[in-house]
Amino acid sequence: MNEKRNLMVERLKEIFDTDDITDKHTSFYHFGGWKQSKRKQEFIKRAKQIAESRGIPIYLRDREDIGVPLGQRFYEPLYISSTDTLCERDDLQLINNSAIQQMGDDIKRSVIMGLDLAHRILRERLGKEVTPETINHYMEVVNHTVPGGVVAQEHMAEVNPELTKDSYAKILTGDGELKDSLDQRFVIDVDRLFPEESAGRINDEIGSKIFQVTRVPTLAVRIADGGIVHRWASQQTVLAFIAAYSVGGGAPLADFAFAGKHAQVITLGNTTWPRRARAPNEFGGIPYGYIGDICQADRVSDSLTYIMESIALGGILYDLIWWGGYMGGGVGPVNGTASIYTNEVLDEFCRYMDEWIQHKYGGYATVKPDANIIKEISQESVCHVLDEYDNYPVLLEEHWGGGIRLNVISTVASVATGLATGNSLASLLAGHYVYSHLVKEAMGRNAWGGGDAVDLVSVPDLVSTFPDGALVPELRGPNIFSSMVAHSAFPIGGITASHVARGHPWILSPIVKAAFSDPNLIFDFRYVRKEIAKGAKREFHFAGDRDILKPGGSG
Amino acid sequence: MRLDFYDENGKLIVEDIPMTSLDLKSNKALRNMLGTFRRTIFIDLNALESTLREGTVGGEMIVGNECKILGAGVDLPIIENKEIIVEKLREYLEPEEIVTIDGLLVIKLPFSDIEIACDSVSSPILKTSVALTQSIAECFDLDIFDGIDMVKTALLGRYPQSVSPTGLLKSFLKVPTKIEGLSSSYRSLSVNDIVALSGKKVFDSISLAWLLEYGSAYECGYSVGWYKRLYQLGFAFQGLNANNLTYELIRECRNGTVHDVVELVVQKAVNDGIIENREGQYRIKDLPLWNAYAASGQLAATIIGSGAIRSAQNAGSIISSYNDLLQIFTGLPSVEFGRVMGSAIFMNWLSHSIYGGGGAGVFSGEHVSVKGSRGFLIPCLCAAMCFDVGTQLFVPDTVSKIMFKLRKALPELSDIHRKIVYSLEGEKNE
Repeated sequence: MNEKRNLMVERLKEIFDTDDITDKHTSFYHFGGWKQSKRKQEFIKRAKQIAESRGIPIYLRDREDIGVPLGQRFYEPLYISSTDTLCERDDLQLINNSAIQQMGDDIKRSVIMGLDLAHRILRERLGKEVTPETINHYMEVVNHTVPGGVVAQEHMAEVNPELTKDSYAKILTGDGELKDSLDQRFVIDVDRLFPEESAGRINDEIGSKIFQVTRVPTLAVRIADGGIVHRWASQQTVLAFIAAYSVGGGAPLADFAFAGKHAQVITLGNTTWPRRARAPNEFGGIPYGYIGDICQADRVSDSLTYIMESIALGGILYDLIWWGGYMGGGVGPVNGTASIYTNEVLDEFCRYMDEWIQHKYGGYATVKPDANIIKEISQESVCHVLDEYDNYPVLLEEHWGGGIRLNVISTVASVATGLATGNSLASLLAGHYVYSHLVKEAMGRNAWGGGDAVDLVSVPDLVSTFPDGALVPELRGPNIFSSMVAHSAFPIGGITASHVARGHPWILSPIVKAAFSDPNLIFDFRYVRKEIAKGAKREFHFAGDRDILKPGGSG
Repeated sequence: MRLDFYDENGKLIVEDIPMTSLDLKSNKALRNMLGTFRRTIFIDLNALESTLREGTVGGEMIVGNECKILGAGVDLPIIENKEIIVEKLREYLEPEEIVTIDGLLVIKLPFSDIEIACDSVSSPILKTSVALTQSIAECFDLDIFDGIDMVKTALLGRYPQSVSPTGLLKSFLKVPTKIEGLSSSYRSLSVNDIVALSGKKVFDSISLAWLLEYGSAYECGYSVGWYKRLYQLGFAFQGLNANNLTYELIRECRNGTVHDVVELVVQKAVNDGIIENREGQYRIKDLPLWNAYAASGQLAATIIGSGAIRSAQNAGSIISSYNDLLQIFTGLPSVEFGRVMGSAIFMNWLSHSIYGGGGAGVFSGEHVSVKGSRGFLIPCLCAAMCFDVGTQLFVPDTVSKIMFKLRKALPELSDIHRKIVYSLEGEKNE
């Protein structure tokens, strides 16, 4: 048992308040019901005040005649993995955790536009000169317009900057000479932000192209949706071009707008299918490959930590917010999602498999993928994790549902297969194979109804040539039927692991990777779990606050 | 009613054609032309080869590419082996035609395919993607982990994570999930695409644009009952230069203004007994025919105006001011009873403002800004773009380059004005 393994055991001992976590006996129903939870006591106290002030009841946890009497089981607190933060499950609920919300907001409110077409319009249609000086001037102007400043007409209403102080635009280019001659306040400096080798490859790929990374205000995506983002950015960008380059009205404006809204725009998410229809930049449309690009842990930590941070990010984004919130229609599946980023469990299991891979195959991406290899790695993953569940009944208690355990097991298999083969398709096949077949052999059909339903479809789909299948893993996402239930951890883990194994500096897009290295983002994508922990402790400084609009507010 | 049809030089092509010849139900040649747009699939094999080699699949920018999957590239000499691939496609698809021109592979599926398909716009591209993926896999003996998924992804892009194919395999028409309104796919070709397909020939681009608009009108019920004659006459007069009206208007007003065209249209309509001036007040005697005359005038005004400055930028304002003047001058309804004027104003605004429009060439009939007019607006924009000498940022020569090549592969689309007109004479002229 290595040091990290002990940490998981110590966590379990602490949260279950026992020295013997192998004990198969426990006393249920003696934990004090809901009163064992400090959070729920707070909720009840506050609910009574609210009910009195508004005259309509709210949150009746203390009423025994409403619903299941919670608290028959022990309400074990949770450690957020990689942190010392101990929190309650309620602290990881989407509405209760401002860091989780901001994580989603920061992704949703980001859009990237190519400036080369706009510069061509300036040069060729309008005879304007574009130099580092004019770009710097333009960047000042666009940082006035994007947060809501006016440049074009008298009598236009402007936005209080206090409400949009999280909104700005920056420049991204792989051209070192150009970058050095720009005002550094506006530059996302890949050389400074990434390790040298990664920076070199990202710069090479972006080359002399110039992109504008725009963050529209958090409040904008709160009042509208992801569909507002490229439109907001485009309109305010065109206005900035008008002002910065003294461009008159007319046809070129339409070309600027077309370039920004359509021709050279990178939205992070596709529009989704009509039954789940959402605009671009909503989470269901984001391909899996972008998660590892948005996650920045690879800049500051080891490979496994980067994979774990990506899994936490993707799991929360897709399972908690998209499936639980948007699709499920409300409060969201906290438990399944939390199981992949709490109590060091997934970290520990993946670390075991990492060592097993090193021992078995001699390193990452050393074995050519085929069905037997996938089976071998998956079997080892399943056997190890099931053994651990057997060894530690409190872990079973903690991961109390078949769906939760399957989420963990399939993620371990997928990550391990990705690391061993460096092949994202093999990693996905492993995850789906475990979910749909392997665990069933050991545990019976154990997932919730939406679980292996899609995995059974996915295995043949992934290796077919059907239009509905055979999309490369990096571009798949929850908009596809066979990926559309709440176990997104394993695709994220497997895909990220596959690229980590081969030392790739990005997963799907060097531009997206670089865009999220921006230190001015509210959510720090280098430390996903630490940020969530801050949210759980109510120490996270989020954006989109409207307090100044309250009676007596100032700003 | 019987009509004569003239070419771009004002010369008679066919005469004494009954209106029934314009009916898509009876005119098999027109149906075949429309079918070509649904059942033709094409792909640039050079682009496919380089995309697979570089691993640059899944990007969605129109200009540029944001995605590159490291380590996923597959180096397949597709061009070198294109004959083998084509033979396999013949076996799997049993296409009516399959040709390659400078690396552009063009496949025309059998008519039966689109007769069977419920969604006959989406079906050909999906079916071809399956066949082409398998053909390439067999040609290069690809196994599961050798990049079959990369091939399919290169062909269809992010589909089905995206709601439409976004890869290198192309069809003329956009699938229903990408357009506004049901049964509007025939309207999804951009003005630039139509102009390129017509080889920038003005009358051909007008006729082709009208054929597509007419097909869509037919498909979604705009050309039945009360409206049938309205769209038939619109197609005939504005789309096909019936009775040489458009040509005459252009010829007589070639040195004039929009106002001159308005005056002349009204004069001809009075002379032909379509409207009458009773005590200073105009009255309509034949509403669909008045609309057709007005539409010919609108096209003539656009050709004169855009032709004069050799730019399409003014097309929207010409069309809106023509209709405005026509209403003011006569007190009669303008083309399509205000639909064209409204759509042109919207189009004009979008092509001159910050709201995302682009120039005339990037518009397509089903777009929210111009879909209010069915038939009568897009052909005029096509005519204007034929005259444009490169004043626009997005021009057919760059954004619709592939369409010029397709002209060579699909001879039925060249000289289309004349072909449509001949088809009106019946089967013997198909």
